[in-house]
Amino acid sequence: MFGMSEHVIQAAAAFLSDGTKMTLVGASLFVALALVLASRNNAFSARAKTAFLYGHLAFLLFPIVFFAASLTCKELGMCEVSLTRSLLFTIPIAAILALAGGLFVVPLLHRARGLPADARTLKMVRSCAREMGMAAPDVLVVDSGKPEAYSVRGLKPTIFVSVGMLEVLSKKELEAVVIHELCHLKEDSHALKNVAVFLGSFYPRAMAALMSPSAMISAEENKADGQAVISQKTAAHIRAAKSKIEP
Amino acid sequence: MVKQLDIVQETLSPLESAILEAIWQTGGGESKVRDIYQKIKDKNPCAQTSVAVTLDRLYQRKLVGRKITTGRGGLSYIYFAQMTKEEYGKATVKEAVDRLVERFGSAAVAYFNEKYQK
Ligand SMILES: [Zn+2]
Repeated sequence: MFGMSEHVIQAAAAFLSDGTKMTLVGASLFVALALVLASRNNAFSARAKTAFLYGHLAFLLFPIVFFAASLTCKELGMCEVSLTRSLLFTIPIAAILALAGGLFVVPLLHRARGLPADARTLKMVRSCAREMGMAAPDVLVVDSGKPEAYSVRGLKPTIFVSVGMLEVLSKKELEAVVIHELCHLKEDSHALKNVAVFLGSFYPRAMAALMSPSAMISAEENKADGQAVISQKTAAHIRAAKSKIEP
Repeated sequence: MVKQLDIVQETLSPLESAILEAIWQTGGGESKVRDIYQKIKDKNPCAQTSVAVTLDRLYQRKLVGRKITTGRGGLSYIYFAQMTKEEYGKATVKEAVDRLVERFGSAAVAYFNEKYQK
């Protein structure tokens, strides 16, 4: 491998045989495991679960950073070592950039495609948000004839509804969908989905039992549907809306 | 007597052809999802959402055009025909024949000659 010189292998061997360092590495991995297990508990809010998964990632990456930090040019006097060090440091940096991209860049791309919403839809979103005790998000329309809706958080929380959605759903059904999306924004389901999908893309299938993004997402979906049922005092509208979105 | 084949029914799903026929019936004029649904629902029992999804697909395939309008019920599309029924039939036949000639080359051409030169 690029930069994997004998000196690096020696340094790795020294690192692995250092009892104190290995204890720290073991403790870090143990905490990472505990955090991912905690994130599976649906008693926690989406924000708490997100924090657990960020912590999980940090403690999982700690050994890499720790090892990289222990590599010094002075000690070994080799340039390949500093190169290896830089390469190892790019792993956590890449993870942070990927997560930030999902949180802030993807919403911007969606917003760039949105069309201004009509007054009726804006009014509905504002009144639902007021009832849920939250700031009203932006509303943009997607140029698609298929009924669909989603939301993004980013720097400016935004609900998207397609033209097809406005055409096909009744007022009450549209309201149910708006409440569902508002719930995602209030709970911050987006950040949880972002980190869960990011981790899930690296974990082998066998680890799905430990960390399943789809289970995380469906818990959030159920919560959002539940909010619509509570606010409207009936499950009829959200159910009808969903049957029109996924016929 | 051989029954005259309807090229529209032959090449599109029943719902797709019912929708296109409904648009053509208005003289290729402009219709909303709801209007088209009202027109076809008795002969083609389906949900309005299926009409919307199918129209979206016909739009992606450039068989219908659309523009956004803001009405009393908020935003919606107005769909219109991109070609007449005759033009559609011609385009479909042309595409099928071109494909046969492309795939089978001289064999397809020889067959057409044999069949239609008599
Ligand atoms: Zn949802």
